[in-house]
Amino acid sequence: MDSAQDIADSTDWLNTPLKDFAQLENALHCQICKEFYDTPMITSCAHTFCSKCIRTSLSADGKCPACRTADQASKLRNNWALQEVVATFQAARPEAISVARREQAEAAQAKRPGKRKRAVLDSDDMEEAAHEGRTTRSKSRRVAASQTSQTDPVEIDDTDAEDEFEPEQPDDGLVECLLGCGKRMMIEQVEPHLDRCEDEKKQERRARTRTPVSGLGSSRSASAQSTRPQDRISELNYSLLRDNAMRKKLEEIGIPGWGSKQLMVKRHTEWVNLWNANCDSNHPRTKRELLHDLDSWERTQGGRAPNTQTGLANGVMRKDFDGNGWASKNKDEFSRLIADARRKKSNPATASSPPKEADLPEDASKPALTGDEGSSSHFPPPSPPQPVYPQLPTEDSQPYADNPEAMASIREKVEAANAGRHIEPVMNAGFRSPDSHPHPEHVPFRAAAVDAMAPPPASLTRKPSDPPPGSQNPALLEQSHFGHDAEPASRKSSTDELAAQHRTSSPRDVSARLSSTPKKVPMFAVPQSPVTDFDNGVH
Amino acid sequence: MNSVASKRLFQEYKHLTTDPPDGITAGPVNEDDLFVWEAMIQGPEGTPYEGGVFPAELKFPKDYPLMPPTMKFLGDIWHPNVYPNGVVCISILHPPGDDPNHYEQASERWSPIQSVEKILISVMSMIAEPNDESPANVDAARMWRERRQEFEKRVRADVRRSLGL
Repeated sequence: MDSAQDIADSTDWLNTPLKDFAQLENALHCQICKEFYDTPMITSCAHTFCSKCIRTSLSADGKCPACRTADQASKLRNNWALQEVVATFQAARPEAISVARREQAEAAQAKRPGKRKRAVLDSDDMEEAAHEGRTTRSKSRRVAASQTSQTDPVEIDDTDAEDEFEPEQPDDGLVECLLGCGKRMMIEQVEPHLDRCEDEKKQERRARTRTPVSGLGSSRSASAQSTRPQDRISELNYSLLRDNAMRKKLEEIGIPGWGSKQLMVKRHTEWVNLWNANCDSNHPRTKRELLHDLDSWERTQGGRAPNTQTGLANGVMRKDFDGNGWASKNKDEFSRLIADARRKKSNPATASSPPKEADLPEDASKPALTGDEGSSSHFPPPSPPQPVYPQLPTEDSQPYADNPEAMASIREKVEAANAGRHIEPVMNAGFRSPDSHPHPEHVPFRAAAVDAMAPPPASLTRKPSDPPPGSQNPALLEQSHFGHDAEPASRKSSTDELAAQHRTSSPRDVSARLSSTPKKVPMFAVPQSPVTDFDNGVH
Repeated sequence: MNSVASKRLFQEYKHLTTDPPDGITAGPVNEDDLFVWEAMIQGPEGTPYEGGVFPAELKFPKDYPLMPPTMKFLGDIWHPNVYPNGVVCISILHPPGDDPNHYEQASERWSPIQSVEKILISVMSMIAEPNDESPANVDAARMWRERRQEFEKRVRADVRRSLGL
């Protein structure tokens, strides 16, 4: 592993005469990231960690990782002395370790000629690797150092976090400008002043920096970008914010506002930690660099991290799922399945099971077509047509197979429904439901309902895995079906076919169906025009 | 992938390869994926596990080191604190926060300052001294408590079998 050698580690010292330096170097490592302290901060309980490390850790569980005392990010203070020690040690390290290794190699050569070759080889290897890795690092450090000296003096007031949270005020009844211009005023004057103050500040910044305002975010974030990020930001009261407010807040500060609220909260927390850690640093980076860091967080732990996408797709269909597009894209597959189903129909044993049933897996818990489609990841586990027959046992799916009379009657009804006619059930002849004028909206449903018991006419056969039109939200679909399931009681008690049939034809049921069916759409017929809002079908 | 987690795992990997604790080796199974490690733990001397080598798999979450990895022995190991499927039950591997079992000290549990090395050392000492207050393998715990000789005999037999003797 070549790159392993690039990372400085305390174990580099172990085989050299300076082996106690391993302990020294360990002491200069942050216990969280196990690297040299980067902007070390001291907690209330007097433990020290990198700014970013301790901030992330505190926002995860609010406790010091070392002693588990509760602490707050706002109480962190820079440990400048340690920072200096780390910086100087890091600067001295490459030289020191090469000296130590040379010493070791010489000692090994002189002492143990037998083992000489191996020892030399080892140390040479390491030295070479150390050289590669370390010269670049020290170089970059020099560059960084010269950069900071150019932009010096960078003033980071290590008490300003405190001020932000518990502003000390002289007791004169006046309020200090919140934007930090230093003016004090009556509380009523604050608001008008803030507008003016902000504008003045912006202009001042624009004049001061030559950084072109980039297209990132709003003008506010652009102005923040061009200045040194000095003002710490705080986490929001996430539980009080709704999704949209949250999204707006994120976009306001110039970070991506997509994803679930949970993800946005995580992203905001990460951003707050990045930002504030940057405020702690005495050579702060630009907002652009921070955004880059946020982006790599997004790719490793956030919404773009591997695996999370499949997790989100599980069980819920996307709101903007394009059912028609899907249907047309997979038209071939659907046609094949329909053809298969028709072929099966020619076999009398399966004659009465609808084509969809034939493709349904035994346990009926998988989407009907997962096996065939493979890629139907947008389909929710309850496949769209399934909820219609929630309690229909497979063995009862053809209750009328050996009852030619019933079959004939059902076929007749289906065909009639298909043709747009309204058939009055025989036992029902004298009855007219209050609103029983034939309505095209519910006729197709009757066809679908009957379909459960009888082989559907070819014209009714709906593409099996097509999501039912107008109901792309599976939860909604399921609800709407279950909600009305009380009415086709015949389907539920499929064991008692005859009684069921009688009930289906009873006046009470017809009226119930007529009043509750408009929301139903045919399960096996593709409508000519897409049904967009089935609520409008209610007459 | 240059996340905090992979950087830290890399750092730990280097530390463990150059200065491994006695009886322990560990590293990523595949260097392209630093989030799955394999570890070998020697059976502690003076215990029935002596002489055995127990391979285990460590899986790290994406938000490591905020959250602990999980550890699972790949071979059979008859031990009160190892589930029959090999998953290790030890407080250092339990995330901070509420303790579902109400017996662990907060100080024993995972914190970002822990490390793979500390986990493996803890597991090694767990092997030597089972904790039968919270058995993961109830049968093993009962045998350990009530029929220690039988327990040790079984463990020795397992160790010999795992070595192909």
